[in-house]
Formats: sequence, C-alpha cells, structure tokens
Amino acid sequence: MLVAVEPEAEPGIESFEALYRSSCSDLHAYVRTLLGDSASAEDVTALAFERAYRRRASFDARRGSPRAWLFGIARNAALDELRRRRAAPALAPEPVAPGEDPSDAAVRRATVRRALEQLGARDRELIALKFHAGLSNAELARVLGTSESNAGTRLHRAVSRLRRACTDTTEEDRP
Amino acid sequence: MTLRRRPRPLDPAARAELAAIDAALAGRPVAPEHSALATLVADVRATAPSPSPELDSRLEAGLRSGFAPAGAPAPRGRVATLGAAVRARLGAGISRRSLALGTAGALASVLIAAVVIVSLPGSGSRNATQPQTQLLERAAPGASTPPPAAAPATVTPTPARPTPSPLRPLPPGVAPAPTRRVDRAASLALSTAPDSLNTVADGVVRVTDSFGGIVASSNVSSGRPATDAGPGQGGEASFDLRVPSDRLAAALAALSRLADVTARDQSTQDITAPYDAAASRVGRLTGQRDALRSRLAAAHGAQVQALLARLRAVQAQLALAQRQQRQLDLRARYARVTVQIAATGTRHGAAGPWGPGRALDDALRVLAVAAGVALVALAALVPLAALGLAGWLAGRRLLRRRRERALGFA
Repeated sequence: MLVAVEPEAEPGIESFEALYRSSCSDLHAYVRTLLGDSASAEDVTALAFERAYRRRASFDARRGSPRAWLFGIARNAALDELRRRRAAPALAPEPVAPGEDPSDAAVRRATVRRALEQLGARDRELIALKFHAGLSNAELARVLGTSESNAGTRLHRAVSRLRRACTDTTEEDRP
Repeated sequence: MTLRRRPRPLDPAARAELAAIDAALAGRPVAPEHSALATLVADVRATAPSPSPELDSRLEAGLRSGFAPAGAPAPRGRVATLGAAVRARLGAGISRRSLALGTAGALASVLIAAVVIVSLPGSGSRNATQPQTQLLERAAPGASTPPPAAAPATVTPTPARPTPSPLRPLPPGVAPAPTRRVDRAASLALSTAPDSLNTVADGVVRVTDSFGGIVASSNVSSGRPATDAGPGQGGEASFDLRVPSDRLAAALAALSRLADVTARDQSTQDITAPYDAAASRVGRLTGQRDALRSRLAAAHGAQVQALLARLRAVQAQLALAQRQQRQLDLRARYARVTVQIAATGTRHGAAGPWGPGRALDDALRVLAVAAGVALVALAALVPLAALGLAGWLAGRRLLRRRRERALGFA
C-alpha cells in the first residue's frame, strides 16, 4: 500500500518518518529484486535510509517527488553494491522453496519468480520500480535519469520480456 | 561525442498496456483484454520480498537515533535536535570532503591575495619610496629652504627660525674624516596631524642637537588645528640639517620615530678625488707663496713691486683653494639631511591624541584593505572554483557511467 507524501521544500523529521513508513517495504523489495540476495538488500536498504536522512535538507520538490528522490538514492547505493560484487565472487540467487502452496496462484507466483531471475538486471530493475515500488513513469524517469517517454518505452519492453519469460518457464515445467 | 538514439514513441497498444498496468497497481478495474496483464501485476507484487523483522527493528532504531553512525551514542533531548539540525545543514549537498576542499581553496586564495598585496609597490607605509628627484632636493649649505609653492589661504606663516652660524668645530667624540671621503645625503618625509606639527618640528631640532648636528635652515607653516568640529588641515615644515656622517643612521632612526614615515631615501658620493686635488693645489700654491716671500726679502728696486703683485695673486688663489678644500672636508664630515613634515589632517603622528574621528579614519582604512584582500582573493578563487566544479562534474559523470556499467554486468 502506498501512502502519498506531501512534498515540501525541506523535509523535516516528521515528513521523513512518513516517507520512511510509506516506502520501507517497497524500497526493500526493489533493492532485493535488483541485488538478488536478502543480506545485501537489507544493508543497502538501511544505507539508503541513512543517506536520505543525512541529505534530507537537499531535497528539492521541484525536481521530483520524495519517493523518486529516495529511490534514486537507493539505486545509487545498490549499483555501488553491484560494482563491489564485480571485484568479489558473485552471490548465487537464493533458492525459492517450490511447492509450498499447491494452489494455482502459488504456481503462477513461482513461475513469475523464476522468470524475474532470468531477466537482465536492467529489466529486473524496471519491473521492481514499477510493480514493487509503484512509481509513476515520471518518477521512473527521475530515478533512471532519463526522459518519461524513454522510461515508458523501456518499461514496456521489460514487461514484454517478463511475459515471454513466464510463458517459456511454464512450457519448460510441462511434462 | 556520444549520439543518443531518440526513443520511438509508444504505439497505442503499448500505451494502453502501460495504462492498464497503472490501473492494476492502483486497484482500478482494467479492460477484459488486459486481464492477463492485471494478473501478472498481482503476481509480481505478490512476489515482492518483505523486509525481515531484524531490518525493521534496525531501521526503527536508526530513525530514533537520527541514523547516527554505528558505535556513536544516540543524542538525546535538545542536543539531539541541535545535532540533527547541524547534520542536516552540513549534509545539505555539502560533503565533508567538499567542505574541506572549499576551506583549503579559500585559505589558498587569501594566501595568494596576501602575497600579491604585499608584493605590490607602495603598499607598505614604512618602506615606501618615491622618485629620487622628488626626495633629493639638495639645498646649498647656508641657504634657506624655499617656502611652499601653494600654501592654503588659512595657513598662517610663522617666521623662519634663525639660520645658525657656519659650521662649528666637530664636537668631542666625533671621529675625523676617514681617508676615503664620502658625501652622504638623506631625505625623510614625515606625516602627522596638524595639531602635532609643532611638536614634531621641535622633535627634529632636539634630535639634531642630541647627535651633534646643525639645523642649517628650517621653515614651519602652521595650518588650522583640529577641533571638535573636525580634523585639522594644512601645515608643513621643512628642515635642512647637517649631521655627523658617522651618526647618520642613528639620527635617521630617531627622526623616523617622531611621526609616520611616508618616504625615506639616502645617497652617497665619493669625493676623495676632488678633495685630494684641492689639497694638492693648496700645497703647490703654498710652496709658490713661500718662494715668492723669500725672493721678496732679497729683492731691490723695481723687482719688489713685481714680486708683490705676483704674491697677491698667488695668495688669492691659495685662499680659494683652501676654501674649496675646507668645504669638501665638511661635506665628508657632515651628512646633509632634508626633513619634510606634512600635516595632512588625515594621518596622525605618534604624539597626537586619538579620538572618534581618527577611529573612523582607521576603520575606513581597515575596510578598504579588507575589501582589497577580498577582491584579490575572489580573483584567485574564481578559477579554482571553476576547476573544482569541472572536476566535480566529471567525477559525477564517471561515477554514473560506472554504476550503469555495473548494472549491465549484473
């Protein structure tokens, strides 16, 4: 659930807390999807909030919403983590326990998880920013540093690839 | 240069699908042809990982402590508020490294400004010099200094001090002229307040006497003294002094302490050759005179008149040569010192009182100097800031490229 946060020139402690409450889960989900492991995701999430708190006076409402600003900070922190991983051994994606819920929805969600893992990092990031964080296309553009139309085009391509990956995964699972 | 490919505009179908995604995310109904997309949205959202309870408690604690660095005690009460405010201000787009770089740049600029200002000619009051032609107006010995060319209407001329008698014999303790005879001259320009002019002028006479010197001539013109209504105006004094050559440095130092020194200059001239020539001429003429006297003692008749005429001519030449030798000797023994005192009404001497008017004058001077320093510092800071800004922008661009590249490798 997303809570609208009123933008203001210099977020105070109260407004920052509101931003934290409304974005914490979404931010973690985005970082977790981008990085692929929960331990790094939690560290990067905490780091992102810490940086955002320290820089809260630099927030400029004219340049975007507080959520876009916060996700931009988290994105930089996550990309720095990915850069560090290039020098260190890559972490294997955490296995998802299959078959915990035999219902159709559970099967579909397992398929979606596997399809997401097959996507490239750029597409995975777009899916997470849109579906997990619920950012508008304008906010997506702000976080990615591109135009709104370009963000929409890239998002549509990522969704198309996700749907194809879901179809491919479903067909592979068929006996 | 990198050419960016302009993205093609979305076709209507893609635009409709994006709108359906937004509707599904907002919980609004979607068209039947987009029901599969809505299901995908729900499934992807359902797969969103949730933060662990540990992360929740970690973030809650961070929020309460103002996200203080690990290991640092959490601030409390008003200190917490103040600390958060300070951190917020410091963190407002300015990192500690940027702050340190900015401070270093500002200090470097001020240092450069100070070096530039100190190296500028005429910036120091004690070491300032003016063209020698203005400073070395040498008066002939015994001649009085001419009065000021353009005296203000309010100036009341005072009678010139009596010109002293010709040079006295050297006082005890003054060494005779050395083998090398050097003519020394010095000029000193002082500045003082109008109401201190007489005090400084008396000080010049006192110092000259204390060093065994002579005031060859002097001229003091008083201007309007300072009152409560405003500072004094005009007034000047000039002195032509003779000071024993071996005490010139000490005498100049003592004279310089009487008021603010605006200019000071010294010159030397070796007069050994003209002195030796005069001495040789005196010796030769003395020999001729003695010989003529001997011949005159033994002369008779018409020879006496002729010898007397030659003797008178030789004696006249001898007197002239002796006078020239004496003058050169005095030039070597006594240095000529010209002292000019100007009562400007804005500068003050050591003896004058200090009041609100002078305080305002000092404050304006301090402000002018500070403005000059700031201007030079700014001139040095602008290029440094431009370089820093260019480096900062290049660094940001490089960092952004590296981050995007890391995303491509993930």
